[in-house]
Amino acid sequence: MTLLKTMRAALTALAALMAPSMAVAQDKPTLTVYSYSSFVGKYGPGAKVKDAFEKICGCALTWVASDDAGALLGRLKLEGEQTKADVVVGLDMNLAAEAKATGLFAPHRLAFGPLSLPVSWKDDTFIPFDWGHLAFVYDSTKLAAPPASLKDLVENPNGPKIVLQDPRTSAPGLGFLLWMQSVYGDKTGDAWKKLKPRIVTFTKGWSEAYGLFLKGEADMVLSYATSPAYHISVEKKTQYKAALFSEGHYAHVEIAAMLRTTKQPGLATQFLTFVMSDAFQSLMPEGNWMFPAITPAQGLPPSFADIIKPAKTLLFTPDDAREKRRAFIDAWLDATAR
Amino acid sequence: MARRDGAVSTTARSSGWSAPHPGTLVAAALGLIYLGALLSLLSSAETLRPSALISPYLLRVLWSSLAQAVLSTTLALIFGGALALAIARMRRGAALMRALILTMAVAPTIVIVLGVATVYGRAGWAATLLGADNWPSIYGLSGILIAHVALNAPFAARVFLHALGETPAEHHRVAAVCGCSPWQVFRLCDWPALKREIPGLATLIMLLCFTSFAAVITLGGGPANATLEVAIYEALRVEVDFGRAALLAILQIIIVCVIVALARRALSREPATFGAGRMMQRADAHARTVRVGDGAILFFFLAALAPILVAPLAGGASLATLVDADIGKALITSIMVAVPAALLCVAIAIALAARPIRNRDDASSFPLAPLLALAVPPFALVAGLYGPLRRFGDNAFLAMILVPFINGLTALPFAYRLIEPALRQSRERYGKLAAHLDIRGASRLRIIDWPLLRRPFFAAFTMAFALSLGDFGVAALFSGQDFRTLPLLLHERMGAYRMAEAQAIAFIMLGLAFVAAFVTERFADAANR
Repeated sequence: MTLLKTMRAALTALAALMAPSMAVAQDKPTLTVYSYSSFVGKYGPGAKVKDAFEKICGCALTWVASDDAGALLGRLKLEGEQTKADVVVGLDMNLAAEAKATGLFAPHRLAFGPLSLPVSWKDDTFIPFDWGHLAFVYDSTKLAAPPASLKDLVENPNGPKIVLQDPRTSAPGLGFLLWMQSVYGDKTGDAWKKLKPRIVTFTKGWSEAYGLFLKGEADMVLSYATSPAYHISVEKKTQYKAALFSEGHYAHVEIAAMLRTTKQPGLATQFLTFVMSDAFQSLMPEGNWMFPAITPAQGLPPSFADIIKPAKTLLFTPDDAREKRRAFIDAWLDATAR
Repeated sequence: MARRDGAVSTTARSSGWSAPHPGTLVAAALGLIYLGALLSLLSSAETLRPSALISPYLLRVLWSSLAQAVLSTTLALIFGGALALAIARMRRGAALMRALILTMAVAPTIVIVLGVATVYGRAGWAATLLGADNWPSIYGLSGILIAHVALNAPFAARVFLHALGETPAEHHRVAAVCGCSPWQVFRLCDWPALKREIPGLATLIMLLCFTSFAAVITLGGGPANATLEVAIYEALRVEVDFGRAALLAILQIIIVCVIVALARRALSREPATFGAGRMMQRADAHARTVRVGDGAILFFFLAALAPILVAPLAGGASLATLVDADIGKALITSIMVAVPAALLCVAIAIALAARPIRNRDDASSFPLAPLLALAVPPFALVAGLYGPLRRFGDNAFLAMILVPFINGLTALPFAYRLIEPALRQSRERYGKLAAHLDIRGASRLRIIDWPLLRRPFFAAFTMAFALSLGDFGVAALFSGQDFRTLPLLLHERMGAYRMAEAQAIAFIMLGLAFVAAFVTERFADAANR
């Protein structure tokens, strides 16, 4: 009996703790923004974005975090029209077609100036807020001569060992699959077969792959070209670099949008305008470790000075990606699952 | 022919209908919940194309999963049995070892996966220690087997330990008096006890390995070694195609049912004999050859498997500097979710296991209800339940209800495997006596079953508690500012490149599981003195 009593007391205590936060929020209008956990977490830009926006809007911003972009969309689909989200920040372009198909998003009706994206942007529903190139990150003290092109990586039998992510469960994993397809086209299956002996493993997500790389399990890991900026800025380590490939790199663009069912359309539009402003964009480089969609007036931090700049950017349109993904993954399975 | 559990009371017989046992109601409720969740998923799907599911890749995956599961199960059972015997013969420090193996059994998968890579990987401790230049790659079947043995052998050992502890004292006394050799002691005293547990354990471990996910993806080295769970995960997270996920889940349930049905036919179990007193000392306690062998097994366990747990200790070193308010809040939330989950899980397990057996084939050993939790991935279950329950409250409130509930269900197979032998034994020993004295229901649990049930109860509670602590998939669906658990925090930190902090959090989770395991072992031990 005492156990039940203790539990009841604990639950009441928790509810009491939560009550004040709910009371405060009712004074001003609340904007609920869905994002992913590392954006909202302690080391992400979430807290600073919240402070900056609350100063100009006279509202309270509440973050709701999902595990990653895929989980974010899954949650929205589950919640459907009853979702409490007003704005979603953090879907990625590969999911844009699925997201549009849910019918939950409203056109943004914003006009913004030139974007600092490596690709042209024409979408009335989604706005890009940051981006980065996929790239292979390596330790320059252990690997002196990284491959200079994707073909070099694939075809050199004595090349470095790499760790990749499974395209069925991870966004960068899918990005690399599309990268291979952009470069090799119909011959992608053979390319995978040539690369296979040097692939240490396919991990479930980016975190496991990066963790394995840092432990020394592989010489290179598929990550973002901006990953070295973290090591330079926070850990003061300059040995991690990204390899520049001559055929070009695949781009990863993150997007935001407002919900059709939002009860705060004015606030939501104001937030989206804020996303395209310097106040938000300047938080992206060292908050989310990605390039801002519009370079802020004060420029980029020094840790971003040496980030590789590929000559060409590869990207499938969202509809293309959605249509061909099943076929690409089946071809990949055929080539690697033997 | 007399019924196995004795006569039913006269009042019930005369009315012609006896109220269904709570266990049956619980089993029916579980079945309905799973069915409801699946139907909800199927109904929210846009298109259903069952034919699109079956592809040559899928068939290959099913075959390789089955092969991998059988191998893992065999290895886990052999090693678990050897470990159990070694611990049973230990004089000192047995409680510590028992806590250690329980901790291993509940370690979060990401800890195990990174641990295996840290210890056995290309640049791991073993490679550095042995100075091998061409260290064989563990990313393939070998890595999967190591991870599965590391996860399941400790659990098997725990179940076997209980069985060994309940061997009648008379057997050992007679064996000692007759001067039996250690091999004879094993064959006459221990093997019958172990044999009784093997069918249930084998089924559970095989299903666990068959539906295993994170370990198999990362350590498997590639899609060749993946399982069906990957396809379900892909359908839910990447394609966000609920219909396909539901169809795959149904396929998995069918396979689970087939395996369970085959196990029922292939494996039978003889009833246990029982003695009057508890065992004070084993008959082979003094045999020196056996002690050497035990030492080797324990050494192998501590050297080969336990280091996998030690890998996050590197994060523990800088614990003091990395702890912040976030971790404290996450810790409290985790505990507040884990305790109700564990209580619910154990309650359901007891209800299911206490069901009276109606016929001779001892079907309670292979019930479907606890194993359904393995066939239907938690995410799919939540996705199915979320729809109907959404209107009852907001996110944080729903989270505090659904997450413990689903976590409890996920831990149910383990709790059931720990609790069922104890209740079965109690029924075999005292069933007729209880019926004779007409002690039923809660009183029966309290008076008759509790002495035998006490240890497994605490072990099951700890297991469910620790599994809930380490759960990631379900909590992730509800994560938000006001609902964050330790595993969610771990993934968040990893996603922000903060690997050291992630390790510190993993260390806290493991430490908590170990403390819980140790405390309950001591508690259960003390009660026996």
